[in-house]
Amino acid sequence: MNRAIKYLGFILFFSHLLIPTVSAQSDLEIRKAFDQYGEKKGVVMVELTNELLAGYDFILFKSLTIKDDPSAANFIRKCLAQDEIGAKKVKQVVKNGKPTSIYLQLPAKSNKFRLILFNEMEQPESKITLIYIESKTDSEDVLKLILKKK
Amino acid sequence: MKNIKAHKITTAEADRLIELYYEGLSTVEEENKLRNFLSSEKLPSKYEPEKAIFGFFEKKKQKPSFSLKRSIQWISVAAVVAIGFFSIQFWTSENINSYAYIDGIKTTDLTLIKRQAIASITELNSSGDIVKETFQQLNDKDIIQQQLDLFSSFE
Repeated sequence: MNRAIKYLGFILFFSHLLIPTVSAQSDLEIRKAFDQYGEKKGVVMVELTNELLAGYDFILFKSLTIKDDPSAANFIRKCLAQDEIGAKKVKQVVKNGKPTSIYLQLPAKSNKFRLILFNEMEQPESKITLIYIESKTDSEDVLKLILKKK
Repeated sequence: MKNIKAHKITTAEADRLIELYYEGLSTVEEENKLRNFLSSEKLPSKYEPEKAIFGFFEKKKQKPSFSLKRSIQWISVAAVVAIGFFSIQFWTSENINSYAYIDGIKTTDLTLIKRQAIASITELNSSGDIVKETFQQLNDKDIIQQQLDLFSSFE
């Protein structure tokens, strides 16, 4: 019996270690932004898994909305600079030499289409929005649908 | 080793102890002496029945040895339990995995989470206005007129 508990313990422990590597987001730098700012004051972090949102079936929808924190914007920009390697830049708006809006279409991973959307707004209030999406269907369709929503 | 030597007995003494053992009159110490005597390898064949009796008890005292077959069986059971555990976790995790942190406070209210998600999409679209504004500025006839007026003032 003790041996059974020991084996079960090992299996559960190693399975838990393996779980984070399954996530398609784990290889991205923006994960750090979600980890670092997600639970702070003045921040809204959303994680939706296998839910219908805006008429679209997402595998994963993550968003981060940060108010009045310019250092966070700089941190996210650094993360995005890493993540855009090998990605398709769908859109980029540069204001005063800084990218304030970046849309990235990442290469599909484990049959999941992935998108990163970033926007920094200064007026009427300082606000940063970072969105990460995983979907089964082409991310271009998701992008069209999101840009249509207003 | 000293103890074993101390328990060494002659065959005559062993016969007497066996007799006492069968009659149920032997003490623990006498049984230990007999057990030590019977554990010797070179014994006459007449002690085989007693060896078998004591050998059986000795076996029961031995620590269980490692068995590959038994280990595989336990691993299989543990794996099945683990698979079951993760299957339940996977099928019930659909809504548990959806959450939001608002000002550091966690919520699992799906309606609120979706509302916040939609809000973030709306925030994102505000950047489209910047592009539109820039284009509008380029097409603004008043700006062009103002610039032409500026040049005409040099005349």
